[in-house]
Amino acid sequence: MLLCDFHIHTTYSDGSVQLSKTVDIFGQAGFDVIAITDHVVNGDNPLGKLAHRFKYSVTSDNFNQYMCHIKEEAKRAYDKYGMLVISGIEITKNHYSIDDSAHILILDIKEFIPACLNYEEIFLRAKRQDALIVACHPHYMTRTMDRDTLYLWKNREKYARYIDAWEIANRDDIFNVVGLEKYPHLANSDFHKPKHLFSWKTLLNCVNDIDSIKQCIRHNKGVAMTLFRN
Amino acid sequence: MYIAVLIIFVAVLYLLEVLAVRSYTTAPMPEADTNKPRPGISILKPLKGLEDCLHDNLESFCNLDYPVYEVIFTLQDKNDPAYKVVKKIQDKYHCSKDISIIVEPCNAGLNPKVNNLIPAYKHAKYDLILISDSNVRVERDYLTAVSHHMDDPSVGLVSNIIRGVSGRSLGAEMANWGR
Repeated sequence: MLLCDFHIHTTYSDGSVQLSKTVDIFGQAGFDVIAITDHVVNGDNPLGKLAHRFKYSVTSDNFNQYMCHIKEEAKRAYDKYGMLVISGIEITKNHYSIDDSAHILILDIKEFIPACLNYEEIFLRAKRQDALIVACHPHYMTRTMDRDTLYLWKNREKYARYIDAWEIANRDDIFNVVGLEKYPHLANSDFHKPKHLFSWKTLLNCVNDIDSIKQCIRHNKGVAMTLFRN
Repeated sequence: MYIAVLIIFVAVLYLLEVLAVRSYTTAPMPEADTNKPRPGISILKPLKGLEDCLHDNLESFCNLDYPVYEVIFTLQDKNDPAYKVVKKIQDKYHCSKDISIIVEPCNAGLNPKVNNLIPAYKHAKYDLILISDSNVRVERDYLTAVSHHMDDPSVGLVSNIIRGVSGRSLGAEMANWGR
């Protein structure tokens, strides 16, 4: 089984650890697959503007640099640890109401997708790149520092057909409702700090290459979750 | 006043300790006779949980320039997170190095590390045994440097001083400076 984490932030957005150090933290712990998913924040409201102001967002200006850096680190990680590093972003649509907010992972991204687009356009652009679409922390969380993001769950009948998987667990939270709806699922750390290494993770029963991993997640066969503790 | 004297006293003691250890560790070591055939060595590595830089620590024992040695990693539980790390290292070096992983629960003693070492010791194939914790990283010439002390028939045991790196607190860093 491949030990995986598909939701990881670095100093390219609001993570506290630089990209190369982040790769080493997961490589040293024996992970097989990780995805770097820094925030791409909507800049169309004051919350988003603030994130851009403090450089907590990947933008169209530094997206190529971000992708090149991930590619370099992916090569190093594969040579040293045999670990696959996938490039991704977290589309971050923050609004004043938690009912209007949503975070979406785009995994194996190739071209920049702005967060200010409407949902259908974001999903279609991701599909055109053959990227995976994952709904992040779709229900109420216990974390006090982070705001809930309920928009996709409240509109799941409209959007579920676009979404390849839903986070059934995020860091220490479990979202039972995702299981009850029998949606395809993943479990991730939402890594921002080294201590977040010890959290819910995904186990995949497939070959360690990007196409097999995407297929495994889309079909949601051979997908398990584990609480990674030391 | 007394507190200031105490602080100065402790600082002087600490400085003396640092100097004493430094002078010992930087003293020239006798050269090993590289032409002499070297005996085989079994390295026993008891593992439990993830140490900082575990992968690099363990891998350093698979890159030694010593001619004949084996590395035996031993765990009590296959679900230990260290198992995945060491399995990857074994897969990486399976063609070139003699690496074994033993997963065997053992409750022979009270000390978990000793319990971890017992199955590894049974598996060891060489007469010289080196026991090393999972938080230790070594240079390529480590085994050559340490094993030649055993050439002296009056020596039955060789020990090492470890040097700490990357302390996470001021206390840990100060302990590292003294080594």
